[in-house]
Amino acid sequence: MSQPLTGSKESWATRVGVILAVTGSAVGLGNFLRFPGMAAQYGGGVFMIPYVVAFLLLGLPIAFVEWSMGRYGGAHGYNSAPGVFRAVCGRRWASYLGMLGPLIPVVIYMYYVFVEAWCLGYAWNYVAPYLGAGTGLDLGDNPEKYNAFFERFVGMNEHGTAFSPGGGQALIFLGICFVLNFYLIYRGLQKGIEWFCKFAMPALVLCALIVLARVLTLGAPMPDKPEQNVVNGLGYMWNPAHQPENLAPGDKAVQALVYRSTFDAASGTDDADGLGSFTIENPQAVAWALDQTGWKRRQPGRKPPDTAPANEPPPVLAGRYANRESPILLTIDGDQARFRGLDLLDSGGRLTLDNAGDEDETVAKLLAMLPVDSAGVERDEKTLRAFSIRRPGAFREALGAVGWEHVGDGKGLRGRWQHEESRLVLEVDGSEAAVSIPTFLETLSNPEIWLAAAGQIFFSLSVGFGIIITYSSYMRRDDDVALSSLTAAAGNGFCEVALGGLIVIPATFVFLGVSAVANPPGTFGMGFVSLPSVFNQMGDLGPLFGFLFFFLLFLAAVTSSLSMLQPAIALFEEGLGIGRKASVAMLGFVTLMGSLFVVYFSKGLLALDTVDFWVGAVCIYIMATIQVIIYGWVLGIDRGMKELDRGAEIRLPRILGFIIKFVSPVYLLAVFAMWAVNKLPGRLKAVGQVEEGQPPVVALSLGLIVVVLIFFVLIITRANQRWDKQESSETGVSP
Amino acid sequence: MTAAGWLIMIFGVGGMTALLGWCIYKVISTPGSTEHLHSQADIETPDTVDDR
Repeated sequence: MSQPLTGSKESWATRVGVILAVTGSAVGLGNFLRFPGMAAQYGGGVFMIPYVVAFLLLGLPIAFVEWSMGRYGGAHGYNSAPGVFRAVCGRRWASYLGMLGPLIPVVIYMYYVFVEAWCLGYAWNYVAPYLGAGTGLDLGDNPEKYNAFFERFVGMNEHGTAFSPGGGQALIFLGICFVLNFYLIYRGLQKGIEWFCKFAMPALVLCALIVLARVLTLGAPMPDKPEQNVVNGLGYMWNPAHQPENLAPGDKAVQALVYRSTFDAASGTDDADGLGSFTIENPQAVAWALDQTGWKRRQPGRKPPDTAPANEPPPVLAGRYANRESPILLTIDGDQARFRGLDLLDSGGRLTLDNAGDEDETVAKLLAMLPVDSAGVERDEKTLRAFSIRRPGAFREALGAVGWEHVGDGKGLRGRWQHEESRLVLEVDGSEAAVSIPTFLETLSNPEIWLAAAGQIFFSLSVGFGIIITYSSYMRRDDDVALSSLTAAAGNGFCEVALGGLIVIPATFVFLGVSAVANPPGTFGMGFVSLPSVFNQMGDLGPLFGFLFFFLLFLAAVTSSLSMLQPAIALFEEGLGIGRKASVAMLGFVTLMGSLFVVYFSKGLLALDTVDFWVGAVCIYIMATIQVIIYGWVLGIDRGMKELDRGAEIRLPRILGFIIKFVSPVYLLAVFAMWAVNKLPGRLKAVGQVEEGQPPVVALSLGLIVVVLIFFVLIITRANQRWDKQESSETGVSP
Repeated sequence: MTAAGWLIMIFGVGGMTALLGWCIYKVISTPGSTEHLHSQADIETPDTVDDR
């Protein structure tokens, strides 16, 4: 049972300590890393509308519900979500409604600990150069180098990278995090984490505020890209929509195209017809962008340059390269390009290699840095070396992704754009394409944005996880849940919106351009590719702040990941009648298998993002819906409000009862129904879509979730047998 | 950045900051509140006590 804070006279230190403990306990990766990723994915400012609505109508009410429901279940002797549901409903079957309670935190732990390991790894890489352990994150001014570092670190380019010899540090740091978490929980030392909340939490917020100040004063640090400035970055984060009516003709419309695609260089003017004309200096990037961002060519025109025919075996692409000068000059099908942005280049853009004399190695090394499946390198009779690549499409894509520079005839593609209501029509070299840019209302009518916003609120407040319900079951009957949960939610919201939202997206926009914001490297990855550039701009103090920020974030993640383990431990103890240490050992095995799965299927972070969507958004959403319906309709809103008022340090408004009983369930069910009708078929279809030669990662990820679900259903069945016995012995009546 | 963007940012950041400020004020100004406020971090589960 929790120990009350003692002392008849509350000192300021006690009060501040309680505030920090309450606000800091739930702050974690969701605030600083996941929120910016979600906001970027769903259009920036427009995401804030469903986000704020979900905070007020779902997050806060359901946080109150979960805290008081858990406290109610605890008073009846239950600590796990299935047990609490059984207590509240008074029915045996109700325990199965709580099966997501242990599943959600356990499955989320499987990938959360991986992201936790990234934080620790990044903190280490800031001190590594000072310990003589390599260059670490001392990578200079080129933002692309940090991008490439992240991709190598997490193994984004190929599955199984972390397990290959020299395949990266992620596995080492994952091991450290795993051992640390389970040591703390095995020894029952997690309460010591309260110390973190009181001391390290303010340090994290202070560090974030300093980083925020630096981000907001960055201006436009890329001299050749003045449009990549902080105000535009804030605009991407906060503008309600990037719709055409916001844009004047000319370069702003081209900017709109840029927002939707991945090419950076464009200049626009108006002509007499009201059409804007523009020149794009990177035709390969345009062709790639058109394909990748949903553009459909309306009229058959000249094939976009270097676009491989769809559904046909790609031809072998023949190329030559010359190492006559730096940077490397590459010739592919007569089109010349030169590499830049790789960490092989020094600050002057020159290629420096230890083995610079060996051209084969040079090519092999270049190719190894790109997500190309296979490459053969062979010598020809001349001084130039020839090579062949089986997947030219992937190669071109890779070149674009790492910032290759086209050095063709210098004219670039010429085109015109026309504004047709909510569509922009693009004409490039006689070939016409159109993209629909959704208006503000069209964006809001997408049910997935409402689902994702609610999921983000639940994720960051730890609502619908089954975590709060377990922890609150250990509280005393007259402990406060109202002010506690409100303060925790407010602390989360502040860290998320005022810090996470103002730092990561503007920083990514400024250093890596809109393409990196629009296509973030996984839900959690954006901060890892952009923040190192911010720290690099902080001069000599940069490494110190880089270390502090990622290390404090790692500690914040530890507090969250430890709390994710308790719901399953409580169920094991109740269901199987085993002790804490046996429960921890069993849980360690289950979560280790899951984490290794996520780490192995690291290409594009597909496994992580798939599990995060289905569990971190959908399952949490379902669990929250079940909770609020049980509370409002089974326990009853009159009893429910009495439960909430018990021991409350603030008087909650009576309208809360109406919201819990009617508004939240209708909101949740309506959005879920719309999503299920409009988006679920596409999501399910994606399960069966597998790239040739690649494992079915999405299907395997869903399989992992189902296996864990079956496991917990079996445990709940066993728990019910024990609870039946317990109840019959207490009442003397057979179940 | 559009005017609507500035407004959303000001209301979003300001709203969250104000809510947190109000909660801190309530905790500080309500006598005895610290004895009843809890979070996951300060709740010691009974099984850890039993195991020691």
